[in-house]
Amino acid sequence: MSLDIQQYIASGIIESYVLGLSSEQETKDVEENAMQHQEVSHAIENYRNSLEKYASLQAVSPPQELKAKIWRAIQTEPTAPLEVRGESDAVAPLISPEKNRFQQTGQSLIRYFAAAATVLLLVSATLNVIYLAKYRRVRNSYDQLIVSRNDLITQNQVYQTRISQVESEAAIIHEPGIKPIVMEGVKEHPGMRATVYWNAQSKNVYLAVNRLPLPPAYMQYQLWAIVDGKPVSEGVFDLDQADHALQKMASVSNAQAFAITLEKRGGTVAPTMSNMYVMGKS
Amino acid sequence: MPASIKYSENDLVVLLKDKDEKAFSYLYDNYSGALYGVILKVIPEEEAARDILQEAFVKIWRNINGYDKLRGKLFTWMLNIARNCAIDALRSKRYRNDQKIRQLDNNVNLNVAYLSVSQNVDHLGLKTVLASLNEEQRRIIDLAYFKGYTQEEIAREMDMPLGTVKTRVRNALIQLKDILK
Repeated sequence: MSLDIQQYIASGIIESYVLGLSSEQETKDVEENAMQHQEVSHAIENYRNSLEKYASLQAVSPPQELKAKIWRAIQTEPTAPLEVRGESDAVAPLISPEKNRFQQTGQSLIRYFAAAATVLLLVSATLNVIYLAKYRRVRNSYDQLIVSRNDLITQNQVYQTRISQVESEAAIIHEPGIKPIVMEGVKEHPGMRATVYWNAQSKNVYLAVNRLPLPPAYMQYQLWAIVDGKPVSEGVFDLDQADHALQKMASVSNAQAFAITLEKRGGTVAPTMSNMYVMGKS
Repeated sequence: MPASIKYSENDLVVLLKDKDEKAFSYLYDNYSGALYGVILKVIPEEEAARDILQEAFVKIWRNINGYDKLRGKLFTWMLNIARNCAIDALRSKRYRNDQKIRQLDNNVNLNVAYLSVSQNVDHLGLKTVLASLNEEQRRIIDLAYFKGYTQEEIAREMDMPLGTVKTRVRNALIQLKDILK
């Protein structure tokens, strides 16, 4: 084997070709080389065989009734103008065995067929016009249907998202061991309210804001757990979520109370007691 | 199901060109599984795949005169027809629209085809092959060979540089060839 061809085979071009990835120029090139060099055509053959084996390994038996159905389709197909290329092939064997009989009956039969064909052609042409108009009408309403169907799909997706959100929240609230702790507004902020759903076993903490004033942009609310008399930060949160959406906060195992203060954006290490909005004991 | 007579590819082609029903029967019994498997790889949805298998057989039947054994094996030729029918269907708008509805209807449906694959496959053989190819090699072969992706599409789909695709393709094929020797 010449060095050039060895290099050519090693270049990866044959693999691309066999997988249908080569460019038009490369494809031509490979096919020319395959004609001139047996090594190239062998390499192609080998790869094809492997891919075919690979495909055969993944064979799936089609349902049994399909065989008869396909055979019927094959037999009726030639009359349908589905494909121009194969038409003459399909018609030829049908006519040739019958030829003798046609010759015996002679010219009159041909004339009869010609007349019949002309009538059929006229009928067909008329029907074409009628059906074209019909087709256009149907096509129109079909397009409209597609548009409204796509709208429905979009709407449906929005609802599904909402439903799954509500479902997951319901699941959290009904978790065994979960305890709702309602935090009411302190003296300075009457009527404010937020609820903590706390699971002492899993330590998970979820927060639902029921009513809190919208803070200025440079401030953020911060949730605190009171553990053994000391405030522990549970994290900051924003109000821009849907009103009753549950937010997961930091886990805590042993809290006697929860409270929310308003702090500078990003939160603080220790709560600003004068800015406390709500508080509730567990 | 295999027929009692066994034809060589050459004899089979001659019979097919004569439009012999026995030839169809033989062709179907021996190749429909492989072709159906390939189609399901491209479109993993049984109803559509059945239609495509029918379309492929009709095309094979009607174009058999266009088959040239100098250009490759009959199986290669048929495989290409089935694959192209499936890829055409996949890229046609109708299938994509159907697919959207189906996803909404029931996500489980999509996996049905995969389930039945496992019933019919040559388990041991396929498992060995799949185990010897890594995930990336399997995907490259699937995308290129079964789904007809171009190099650029593979690069995008697998998020790798175009230059890398060529090397990986080569390695994947060499690996496959070695396993299936």
